Amino acid sequence: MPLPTLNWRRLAPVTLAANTVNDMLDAIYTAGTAATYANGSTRTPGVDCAWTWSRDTTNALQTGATTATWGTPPTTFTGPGVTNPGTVIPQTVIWAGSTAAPTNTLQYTSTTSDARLANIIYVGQCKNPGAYANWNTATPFTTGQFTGFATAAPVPSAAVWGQMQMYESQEAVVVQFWRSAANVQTASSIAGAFIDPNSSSALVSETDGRLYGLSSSGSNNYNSATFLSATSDALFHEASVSTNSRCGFCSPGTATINGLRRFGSFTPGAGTVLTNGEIPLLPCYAASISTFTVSRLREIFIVRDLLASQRIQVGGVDYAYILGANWQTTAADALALKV
Amino acid sequence: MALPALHWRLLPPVFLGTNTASALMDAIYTMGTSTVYADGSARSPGTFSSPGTASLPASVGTGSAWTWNFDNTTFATGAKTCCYAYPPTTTAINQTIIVGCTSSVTGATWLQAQSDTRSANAIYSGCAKGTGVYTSWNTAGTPFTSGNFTGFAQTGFPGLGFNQVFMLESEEAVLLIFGRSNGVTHMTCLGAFVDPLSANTLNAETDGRLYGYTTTGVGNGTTTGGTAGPWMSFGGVATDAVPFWNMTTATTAHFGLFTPGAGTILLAQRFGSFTPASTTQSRNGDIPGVPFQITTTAGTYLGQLRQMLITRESASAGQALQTTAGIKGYTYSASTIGSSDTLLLQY
Repeated sequence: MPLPTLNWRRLAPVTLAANTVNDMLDAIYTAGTAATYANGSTRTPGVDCAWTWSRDTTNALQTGATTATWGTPPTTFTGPGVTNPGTVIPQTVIWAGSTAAPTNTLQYTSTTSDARLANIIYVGQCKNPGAYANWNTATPFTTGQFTGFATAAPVPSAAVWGQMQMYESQEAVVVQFWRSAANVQTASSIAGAFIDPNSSSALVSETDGRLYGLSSSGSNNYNSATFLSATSDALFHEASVSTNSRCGFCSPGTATINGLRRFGSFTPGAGTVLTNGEIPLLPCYAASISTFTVSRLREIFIVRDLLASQRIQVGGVDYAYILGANWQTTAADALALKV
Repeated sequence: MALPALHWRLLPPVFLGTNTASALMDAIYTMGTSTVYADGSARSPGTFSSPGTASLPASVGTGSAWTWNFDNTTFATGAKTCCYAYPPTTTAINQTIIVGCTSSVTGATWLQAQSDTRSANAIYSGCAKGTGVYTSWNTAGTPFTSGNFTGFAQTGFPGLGFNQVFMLESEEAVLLIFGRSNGVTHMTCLGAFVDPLSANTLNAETDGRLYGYTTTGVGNGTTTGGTAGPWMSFGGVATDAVPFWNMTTATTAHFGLFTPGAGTILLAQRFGSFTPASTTQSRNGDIPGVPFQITTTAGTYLGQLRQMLITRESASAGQALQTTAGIKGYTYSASTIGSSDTLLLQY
């Protein structure tokens, strides 16, 4: 049976105070503590789709600045149009980084380990987490199974990041950075229970039927404008190369990483619409590199070429938000996060 | 909203004693009138008051069972030259599917799908909507008294060495597989097998469906013709055949769906490229089922195949994929004897 439906929400874009890794993290924290969504609807952390965020400004790596921010999923579900996910494994998602290179972080590893670099933002996910301890250790949370940190975006000095866009659902969070000025590119990362293995077998899924993990476009490149047909270094593609794109989940009950890759190669265009102009949302699947699972990405759909700044509305009501490779100017490969 | 789920059933396969046009037609009719499925479950097709005589069915079938009739007078060969069938499901759009094959084409005038050549001893198939009573398949228009017809597309010919025929049927579509002695398969699928996932009349017929056909064609007609093994990642060449893909060359792969509310054909193709393997499964042995999307050859989205899913590589039809709960579905792939790209037709 498919897992409960996720309902995605868009936070208001946050303009970075400055083009630094600390300001990238502050932008996530700012979005995560907002009282309203991008469409003006009320947001209450801990309720429905809204995660609860904390941050670390006292880490010895770089004191006095934000070097980590982490979120815990909502536990109260009262809103109309929001599916109650039921009993799930506790989790935390975390983004981290500092002007000093981390020295003791647990590195995300699938064939290769992601390098520990200064000024790079990282993403990680932890099942059954204890209290936050220190992101620059092998156990950022006192207990739990942690994916390790994967690079989440190219270094600010090269990219010149201007805005951060966050999307959240009951069980997963997406963070996307947009380059400033005339640049159109983005970098994306996602963490949480966004993988539906469509199986309750203990060999294939956690005890709650989910798979927990992360996906990132990496720090080596921006999102490719053709990432839905790319076979290397692309969102939802485990490249198995340090700082390239990563996509993996922890084996049920463990922290062992299994790489995932988008199943199928797609070349949608602006014309990938129905005859009457409606935009179809096409399911997106991912297969493990090893024989482990073929899974559906939860309420994440392939759509016609669009911009990350766009949304799909039906009857004036938000229907889906676009996770696109480009955020302005030229529509390119994109995914839709269904409301 | 998605259309009602189809339930695919496998008829008892027929192994050909002789590989001739009439034997192929006999095989289709034999399967189409069977009262049992390959898994032993009962099948209830409808009836014609006088089989072989053109009329509407006296009764239609139940469940997934189509009601078949035949024509053994056209071309005066003394044998069946075509079989046609009416579905068990009645919607606002009447549909009929038809398969023809004859040893003689003297005076052949049948409507060709995409100018496929009219040849003796070749298997042709097509789909009609808004149909009435069968008249003749050797006419320049629809073989029925009313409605629209796709035209006949070529799927194969006995000279390729067919030795078995498989039929899979569901409430609204039928899929036929012709297996050759070297294991290569040829396929045609007919009916309402694409769900436009929209009720808008620009996207769907008034009953919410899209009707049409796909065929692998005959390729180059040699031992390498037939369904291409890696067909889910294949762009198609004239010498091989690709299901759910349209090529403009005569007798090669064709895929067309009626324009809603009209008799014109939208040329169609698979959306996406896939490279499943025998390892494309869960480690507990569960096999996947990934939806299969369809666009026009120009890229306009048309819909999703109905209960026909991409799954792990396996051998072709007649292979039932089972779970502890029973049959999960039946397979269609490029070979009856070797592992290749496979479609799972859900039970």
